[in-house]
Amino acid sequence: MNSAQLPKWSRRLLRLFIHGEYLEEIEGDLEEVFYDDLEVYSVKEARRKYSFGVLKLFRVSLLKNLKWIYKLGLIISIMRTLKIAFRNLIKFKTHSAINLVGLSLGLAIGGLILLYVTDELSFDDFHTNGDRIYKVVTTSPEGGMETNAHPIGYQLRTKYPEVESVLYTRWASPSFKINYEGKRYDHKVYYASEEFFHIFSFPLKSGDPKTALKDPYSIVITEALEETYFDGSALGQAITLRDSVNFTVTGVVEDLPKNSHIQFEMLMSFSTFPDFRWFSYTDGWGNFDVRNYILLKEGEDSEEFQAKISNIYDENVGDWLDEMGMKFTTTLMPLKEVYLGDVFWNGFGPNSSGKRVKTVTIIAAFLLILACINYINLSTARSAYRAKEVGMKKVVGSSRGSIIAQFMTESFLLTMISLIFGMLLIMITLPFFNDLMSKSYTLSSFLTPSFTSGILVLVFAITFLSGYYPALVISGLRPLNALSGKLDKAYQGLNLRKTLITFQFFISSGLVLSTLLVINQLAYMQTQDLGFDKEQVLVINATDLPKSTTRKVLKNELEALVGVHKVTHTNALPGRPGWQGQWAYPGKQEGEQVDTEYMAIDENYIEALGLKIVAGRNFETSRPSELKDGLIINESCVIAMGWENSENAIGKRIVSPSGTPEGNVIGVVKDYHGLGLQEQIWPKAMDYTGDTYGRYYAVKYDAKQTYDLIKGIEKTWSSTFGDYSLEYFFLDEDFDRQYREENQLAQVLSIFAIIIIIVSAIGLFGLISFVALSRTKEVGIRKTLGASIGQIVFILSKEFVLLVILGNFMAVPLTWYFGNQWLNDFAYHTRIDPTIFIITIAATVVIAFLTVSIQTMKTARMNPVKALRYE
Amino acid sequence: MKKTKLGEFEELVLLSVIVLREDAYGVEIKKELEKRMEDRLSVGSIQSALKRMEEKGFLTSEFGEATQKRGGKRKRIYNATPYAEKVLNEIRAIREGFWTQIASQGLRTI
Repeated sequence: MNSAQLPKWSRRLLRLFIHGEYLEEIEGDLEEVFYDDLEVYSVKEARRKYSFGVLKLFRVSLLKNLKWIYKLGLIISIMRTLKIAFRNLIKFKTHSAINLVGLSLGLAIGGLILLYVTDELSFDDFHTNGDRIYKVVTTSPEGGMETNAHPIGYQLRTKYPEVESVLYTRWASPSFKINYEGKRYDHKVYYASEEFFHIFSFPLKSGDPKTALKDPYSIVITEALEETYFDGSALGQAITLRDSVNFTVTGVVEDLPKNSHIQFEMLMSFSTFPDFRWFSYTDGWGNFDVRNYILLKEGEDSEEFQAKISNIYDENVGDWLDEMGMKFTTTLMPLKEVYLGDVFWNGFGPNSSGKRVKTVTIIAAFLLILACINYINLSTARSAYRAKEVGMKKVVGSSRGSIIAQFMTESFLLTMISLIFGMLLIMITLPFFNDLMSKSYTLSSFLTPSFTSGILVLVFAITFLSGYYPALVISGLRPLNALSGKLDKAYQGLNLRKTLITFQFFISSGLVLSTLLVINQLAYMQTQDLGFDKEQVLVINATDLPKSTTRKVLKNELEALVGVHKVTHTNALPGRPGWQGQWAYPGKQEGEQVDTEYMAIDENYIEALGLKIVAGRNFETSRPSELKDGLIINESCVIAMGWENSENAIGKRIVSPSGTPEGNVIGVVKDYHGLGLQEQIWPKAMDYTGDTYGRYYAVKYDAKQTYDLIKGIEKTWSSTFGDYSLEYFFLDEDFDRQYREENQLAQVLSIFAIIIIIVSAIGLFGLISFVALSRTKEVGIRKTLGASIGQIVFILSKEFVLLVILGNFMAVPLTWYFGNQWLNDFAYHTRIDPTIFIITIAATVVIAFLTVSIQTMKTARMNPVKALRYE
Repeated sequence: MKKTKLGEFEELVLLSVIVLREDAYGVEIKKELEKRMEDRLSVGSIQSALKRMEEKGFLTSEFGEATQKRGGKRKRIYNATPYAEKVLNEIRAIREGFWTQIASQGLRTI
């Protein structure tokens, strides 16, 4: 037996950290085990086990008293530096508190935004071939759409060798509900072709990814659905959709990651689709209802490929498109852009906005910078009071580096304390933040590597940004000057502080201005006369109901309820457009077509929604010929058709290649903002076809007793369509959804504006306290010479208030410019109201003045004798 | 049995100390427990339990003889204190109370 066989390093380590009293015993134990092991294992293995055993001895109860650390010189100096830093933080309580509040707020907001941004940017990151996946969309000079004509997929699949795989997906009618134990259940369902699992990396729990979506009537469901509807494995089982259509489960997909722009619960094989609706792979250039994704072969250049496929429409049906005056381009959209892109709606799941991500990031960055500015301002202002400490250190031989280290440690310590407070703030405000951004983060969402590394970077960036400059300035003091208390003006960094304050208030005012601007536009949109009456209208969603005469029965019964004024059966309501993009021509099919919105209405529509007829008349059941061949149009349609005025339009004929809309104009309604004020008003053509195409029943009621009304509706419903679930909403609430984005923006901006103003104001407060202190003597002399308190406050505040005003004046033109750009996105928008500038300037100046005068008052009130004795 | 704070693993170590008598030192306790628990244990886990219990007054210890196998290092022999025996008895009484009741309720065997 040879003790040299023991691993040397592990033994040394053991001796380093194990408590001396225990060392002999434990070393003995380990060695005994080691020699026992030698009899069973190889030398190498036994040595490995020994070392591993040493590592397992790292337990608090076995460790040496921590004093051994002091053997390391570096650590002792760090400990001392920390101690001094801590003492300094406590000594300047106001100063530290201000920085703490600012940095905590900054870190809390920064943390939340970091979480939000990393989450948004992580969308669709998990696909193995992500960089080769593209969504194919159809663009046109008017904008385009996220869907393609039927043959596009086939063209890509057959004519372009660069393409490895082409996916067809399609929206499926909501009538595909699961039938389970006599009831219908709604789930997100799409058609998808067999390439789905080849292109996307959604792992299957069971089933073959290659063939799962191949045969007709195959269906892939999610794990959650499997658990809900099946005992054990669903694979191979039957599932009934739409009352009578039987599918076989050919795959169960693991529950989808939240950060996927594709969200579904069921995928029906695309080959099933032609059984329900006409579909052709090679024909149907006018049917834009297929969504395609492609996987490019490895090494293919997407830009070159894009150039090749741009003209697929022109190459195939160019003549026809020219005739129609249309131009379509086939465009590739990289996978990562689908979710964050602002251009197209994402029909396959959630959609975000890159703009929003950018906006909140920029504002959060500003907030952090502002908090750092506070730190810089306060530290440099304070440098006079720490000059002696620095001078002393230098005299006894401290290097500049170690003084810098001292100051950086202070800012690091403060940042770390702020981080703790910031995290607490995040915990408290998380539910509110979720509400604001419509997300559902939990505390565990913070445990991702991207978040933790992000917050570390933030902490170091803040430490450096806020600590380095003051450290550099203060450590540069010359010992003699520092000790005698004579500081150069430059050392106090006056000009820098002035610039920074101006910048702080430039940002603050800019943000306040933007907030007011958004709120103004929002108020404008909400108070503008929309041209229809959205109050007291209850809407029943009848999209899923079968087309039958029971629909007519339901309408009559609803109308008979107490308190119901009118009931209309229609396909279009404000906020829920009818068929947009229907081509129509005045008289004959020639010249440029008018893109109309085709609306299916009945005789009650105009009255139920409070629309105004400006010429002609409404549909009347006593005139059956007008019901059959009449059209009611809006004023925009009159103009678009070229009929100059509404009276003129009556009796004119509208024709259309598809037959909808087609008929003689019998009435013209006043224009109304059916899509809110963001959008132009479409030319509308209303046809008496509510019972054929109806999707909603809108019930205009005049009773205040909505409770009785709803009970009545439920009763009526159960006697007519009782086996379907009743889904209803109020028109005014539903319509206001359109303003959600703006509402959200207004809320986010208001919160940021308030926080940023607070941070700027407390920064100013802290700074002024130092400035006032340094001018104590001056104040004393002025007072003895007869200056009033008011005059002194004025003298001390003047400079800072001027800086705030300067900051404001820089913010005004910028907000004016960008504000107008933002407003121009709305078809109908308010003008920038100059009073918001006045309000902002007044508010920030008042806040700044109040902050400053609280401090200056204190100084001005002091007994001049004390002031003169000061120092 | 108020604040005795005897952990589950500590209890097992304590029991081994009692069973092993004069042989109750680190490696021997480890072997005994490994045999009964049919599991591998580390020297660290045993040692830290021993030290914790010594601090809490469940164990006393003294140096024993040194052996060649231990590279000339002495063993430390542990001994359970009367207090430890009292606590162990209390724990046992509580557990037995439960088991008697479970048995009398005639529930499924566990």
